Amino acid sequence: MDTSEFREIFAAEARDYLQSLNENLLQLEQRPNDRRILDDMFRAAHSLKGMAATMGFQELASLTHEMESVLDLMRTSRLAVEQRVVDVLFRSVDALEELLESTLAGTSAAISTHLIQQLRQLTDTAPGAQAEVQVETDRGFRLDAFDLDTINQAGAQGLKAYAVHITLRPNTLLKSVRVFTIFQALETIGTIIKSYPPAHDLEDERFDLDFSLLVLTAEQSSSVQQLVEGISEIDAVEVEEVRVSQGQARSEAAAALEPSSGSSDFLKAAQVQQRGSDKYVRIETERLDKLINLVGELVISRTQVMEMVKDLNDSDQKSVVGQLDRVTTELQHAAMNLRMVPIRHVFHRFPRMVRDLARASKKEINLEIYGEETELDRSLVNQIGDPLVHLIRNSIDHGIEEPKVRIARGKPEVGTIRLSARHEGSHILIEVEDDGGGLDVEKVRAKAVERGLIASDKASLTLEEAVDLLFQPGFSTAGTVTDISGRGVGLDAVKAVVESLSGTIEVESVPQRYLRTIIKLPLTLAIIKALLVVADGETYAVPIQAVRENLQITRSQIKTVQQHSVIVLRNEVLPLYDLAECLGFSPVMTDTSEDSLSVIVMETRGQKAAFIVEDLIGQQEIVIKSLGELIGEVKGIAGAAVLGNGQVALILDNSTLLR
Amino acid sequence: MPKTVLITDDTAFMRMTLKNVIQKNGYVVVGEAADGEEAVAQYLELRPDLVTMDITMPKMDGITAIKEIMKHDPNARIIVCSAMGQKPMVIEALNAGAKDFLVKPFDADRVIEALRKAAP
Repeated sequence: MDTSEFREIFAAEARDYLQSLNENLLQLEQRPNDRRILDDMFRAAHSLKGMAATMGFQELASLTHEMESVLDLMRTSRLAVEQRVVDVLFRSVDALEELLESTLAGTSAAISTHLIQQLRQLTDTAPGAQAEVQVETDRGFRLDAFDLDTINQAGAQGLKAYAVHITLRPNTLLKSVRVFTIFQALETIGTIIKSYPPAHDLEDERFDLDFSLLVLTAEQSSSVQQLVEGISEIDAVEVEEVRVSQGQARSEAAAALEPSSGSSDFLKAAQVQQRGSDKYVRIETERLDKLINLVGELVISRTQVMEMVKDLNDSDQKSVVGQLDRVTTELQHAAMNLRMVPIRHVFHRFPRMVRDLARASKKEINLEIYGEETELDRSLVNQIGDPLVHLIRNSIDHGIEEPKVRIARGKPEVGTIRLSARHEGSHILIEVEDDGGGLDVEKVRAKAVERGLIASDKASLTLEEAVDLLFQPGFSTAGTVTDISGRGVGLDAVKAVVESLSGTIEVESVPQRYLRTIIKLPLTLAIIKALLVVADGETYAVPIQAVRENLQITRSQIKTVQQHSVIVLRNEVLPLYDLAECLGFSPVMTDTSEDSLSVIVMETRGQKAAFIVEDLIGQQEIVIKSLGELIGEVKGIAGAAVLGNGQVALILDNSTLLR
Repeated sequence: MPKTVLITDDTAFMRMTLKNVIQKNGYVVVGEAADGEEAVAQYLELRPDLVTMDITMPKMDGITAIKEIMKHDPNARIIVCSAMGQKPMVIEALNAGAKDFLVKPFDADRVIEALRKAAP
């Protein structure tokens, strides 16, 4: 079977399963006696194994199989939920994640034989565990220990177990539906606990004509025979009673029927598929982007039409255009919504990370997550992860104190990191807060002096100044470089990413109490608010969040310091540039006919500069377009936008302009 | 006594083909319906032993018609007729109470087997 077209769906689902395994492991550590968690995990492992095998990813399938065996022992209480077991499972999930990504990337990956050995050791040493022991019926239906146990228990309730071997007629159409009718009929008299091939293979018609079902029922074998013979398109039916001797079965406490390997799962799957297909569609992101792009074009045309009718007096035309305006706006919102995904996709990796790092640094930390349903643009989700990782690592490494320090300070022994997201207007706020030592201003000062960032005689810093220093390139307050943070990639990198996403970052702190970092991002990057300015006769768009203010100055206000032009604004000395000159045109300043000059002040990464522009047009929402493949990337230009009047304006990249 | 059948299909050609096969094998076709609404009305009036039900039809589709008929008579014996590639709808019809399914183009033996097995 050619599986390449299923690759993406496989990848997405497999990642989901691994994520759920990871999350459930974390839960299991908290609630080791919760059977449901183990059942969930077993199902996830089982499904993943089946999917991997179908795709022909043998390594992935076999490692999952080993893991599934361990989980099976745990959920049937044959292997205790202990830290050493959980640790091996965590490592297995990690290994599976690596294996999955390398398999998908097409690079060869070897499974750690050590890990497989550890998993096997767990299955082998579990008391009474004989996961590999299988019994075959006369017709070759393999039953494992779990099946035998189930059959044994059913026997106690007066139910018999039959292996029903069915052969379909050779020219049967819609084989899977035929199987469905057989399942439907048998479920009226009993329960199907297993099938060979497994239910999902039957459902996808991955079998020839023969298949076998293990049925528990109170009926006689002849009734089962008659029932199946009464169904169309069946060539042969053979019903074989399965008897389990006491020696084969384990006498374990009640194990509920597990539908994952057969049973009514098939019926459920078929029904869910039906209902589910009405609710969700998986779409290629490329198609989605195309739609968004077209809507963007439409928005621009709408604005053009609006400008055209602005001066008309025809009220009919105006109302039609008004309607067009409303519908387009709604369409735009709807299209933008398609790009929105819950921030959960970023947050879900943190519980595991916090757990691992807390253990590594011998601290006890509780991670609280709020607002994981908050939605933001897909493109932002992909990029905001790393900055958050960095902030959370900082909180663990520098923020939360060691338990004995916390006790001495009268705080709860267990530290708390709170991660939250919420909407505020057209922005999303993401906060990382820890109840650790807060920002130690004195430590920051000492470090800054050592680094030569501030003069050694500077006596004290305000909190704001300390925060500013934190975001300076190469600043790190960690006394020692640890595994967790302090590798030289400082908070300046975090700030850079946030600003490249048109966002801002703020820090609030009370020493010894808490430190809170607030990241504010626009909901989408496709549409931004921009200030339109003119340089050398051309209109340019400047992202509004980079603009601090605009003002009029007179030539006499321009000073020269070390041969550079500067202006003094509220006691702050700002370098002054000519935008046209920066862009390679002749400067405005040389034209001395006008005394008054328009200036905008921009700020990026804490650096401020003033730019002389020819004219200020005003604010406008613009749809960002790339310059296209032919032109590619141009330094200083972030893209282009078509304005309401049809004119094309280049969008200035403020971060490169300021460098 | 020969068993009675109600045929439901929106094309006269398919009704004719089915009627031909069914009557040759000792069943009596007591009614023909061209859409789901007609099928329900005729079922209530004629109370046939068996019904063949096309899925895609104007006015009321086959699945809705099956549900309607089953509401009035939980013992109704309905055989759903589908084209290839209608798997989810066939499953829905079976869940709604259809006893068996036929896949177009019809094979005469299959039609008779379905009728025989649905009403032995």
